[in-house]
Amino acid sequence: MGDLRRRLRNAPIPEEHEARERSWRVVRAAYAERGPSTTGASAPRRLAVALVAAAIVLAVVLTPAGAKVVDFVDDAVSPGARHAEPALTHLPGGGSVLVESTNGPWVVNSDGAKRLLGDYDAAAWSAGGRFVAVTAGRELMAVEPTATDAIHWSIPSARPVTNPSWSTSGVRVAYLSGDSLRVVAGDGTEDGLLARHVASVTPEWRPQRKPLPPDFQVSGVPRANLLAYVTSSGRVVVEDTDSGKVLLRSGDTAQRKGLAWSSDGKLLLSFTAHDLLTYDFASRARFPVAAGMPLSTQLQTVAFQPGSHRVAAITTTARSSGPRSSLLLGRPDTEKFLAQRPLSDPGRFSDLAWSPRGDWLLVGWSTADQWLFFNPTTGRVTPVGDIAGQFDAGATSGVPFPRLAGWCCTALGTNSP
Amino acid sequence: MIGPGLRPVVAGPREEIQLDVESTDSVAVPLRVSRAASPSKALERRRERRWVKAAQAGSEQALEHLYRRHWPWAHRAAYLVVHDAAAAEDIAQEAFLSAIRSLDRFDRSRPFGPWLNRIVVNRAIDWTRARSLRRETAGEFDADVASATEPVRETGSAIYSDEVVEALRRLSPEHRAVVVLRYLLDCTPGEIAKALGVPRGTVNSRLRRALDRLGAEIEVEE
Repeated sequence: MGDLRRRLRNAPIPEEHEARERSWRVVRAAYAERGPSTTGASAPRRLAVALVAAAIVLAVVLTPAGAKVVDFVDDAVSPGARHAEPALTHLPGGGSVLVESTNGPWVVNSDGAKRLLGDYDAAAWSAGGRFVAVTAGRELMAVEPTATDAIHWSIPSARPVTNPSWSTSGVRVAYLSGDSLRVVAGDGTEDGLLARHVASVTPEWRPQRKPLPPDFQVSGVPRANLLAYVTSSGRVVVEDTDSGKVLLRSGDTAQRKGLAWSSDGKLLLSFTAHDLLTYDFASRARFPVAAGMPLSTQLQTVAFQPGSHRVAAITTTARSSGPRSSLLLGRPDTEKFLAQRPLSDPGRFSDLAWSPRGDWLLVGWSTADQWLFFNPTTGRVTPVGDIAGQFDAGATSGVPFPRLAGWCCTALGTNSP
Repeated sequence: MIGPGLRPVVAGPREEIQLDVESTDSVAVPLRVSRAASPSKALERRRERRWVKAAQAGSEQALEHLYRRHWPWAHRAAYLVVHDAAAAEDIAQEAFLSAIRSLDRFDRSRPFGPWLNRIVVNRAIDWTRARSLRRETAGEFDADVASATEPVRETGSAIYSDEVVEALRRLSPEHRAVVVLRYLLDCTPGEIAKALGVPRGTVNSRLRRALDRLGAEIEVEE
């Protein structure tokens, strides 16, 4: 069977080099963040440490003073009490985060520096991070993220504009005008209607591995601009916006909250408050995901990890003592979906965003007014506090917690708009 | 014990996995995982023990040696079982992360590769089973959807089509696993039985059936 052996060893594996280097970065980071080795500790020393620890536990449990310590610790781990950095001084995953606040969208750079883009409403990154699509009343605009009110182009609309979404090819922007879905070219021209009666769910462009070169940024490129959206009746539709060809129209209807594509464009995930459905465009299959969630638990948001089919999801469970939120991780095309629950805290997690390389997750914890930077490889959590105040100088209590609108940029967009 | 590290295929003066580290562009050139040579199994084991010991003590360089030595096998084994590039990458990566988490407790008297590969293959089987259980035919897809939505590749997709890979794809995950363990990772039937937690007779029958099926679809030299 030497022939079979040889053929197995020489069979081509897709993206073999890229996978090796991507994974090495993850493995190296996990290794760098692991705690100091314990292999050097001698048995007597380990025994001594264990005895001391046991004595401390007994003292805490059995003495009045210990009880006070327990009370203190209980207080200290109550909602909002993760020991947080007082201010955002850097982004662990690099890149830039787009944030929507009551004052308008902000861009947070990797060094923690923040810039208010202007008095706009919703915001979305362009693929390469050179522009941000923003809405203001009945207007859609492209602005530069490096300056305030630096408007690149703008188009008016007959009805209120919401949910902008810039294609990963860089050449199309989708947005909702009332309940109509419209698409405009990336330079603000060729604005046109794509569909009427759509749900208020942000349309999602199918990711492309590479941006199109400028010469191809015209509507003639086939299969370059596939858009997923939800109709007002709750069906998922995937349409080629250039040809108008519908590639998927779901048979079922549901109160869908959102859509997400895997970064390789193979999987499309739609989710409601209680379930997820994954469409696999490679095998033309779909995978309903029963997360086993009770009715009291609701899915808030879901996002694919860049470069992977892993998904992060936020759930909130209503309890008599108040809501409790969790961050779940898993793969939507397997039974073990959402098997991992690395974060669970009292109150509400509002939203999440993956870092461009997929090595960090940013979770908004609105109840505690914190952002939690979570490294899924190492389990490390870096909380940052006073988030609302940092995006609304002089804010008083009751200011809405800022919403995460994206963490830019993926490698595929480096040469695109 | 399983794993390629115990069974060098070709004898020669040096033993190391050749990695095309210069080929970092998007063209998918297969990594050459054929082993060129080992002076002795014992020497190889000693070197790996040194790497594990150094990695336990905090040497990133030693960890990289381990990674670059074992990744190609782990990744390839995962892919040949799951036939999904993203899943294979995840499975191999998670196996390495498990290894790092357990590194301090790792018994250096045991070889690293077999332990890693056992995790990889079992996870790959689990993934494939789960996926097939959950799969539904999606009638909502347009008839042309598969071709019409093929991701834009930087390279021709033809490079990924391979007769033996396609033939493997038509086997059950359990049959794929025994073929991969036996003929990619050079495990004995006893080692495969231990890795998969099944009787040795089951391994032998699966191997026979798998080879019969493969032989019916491709020309495999005996």
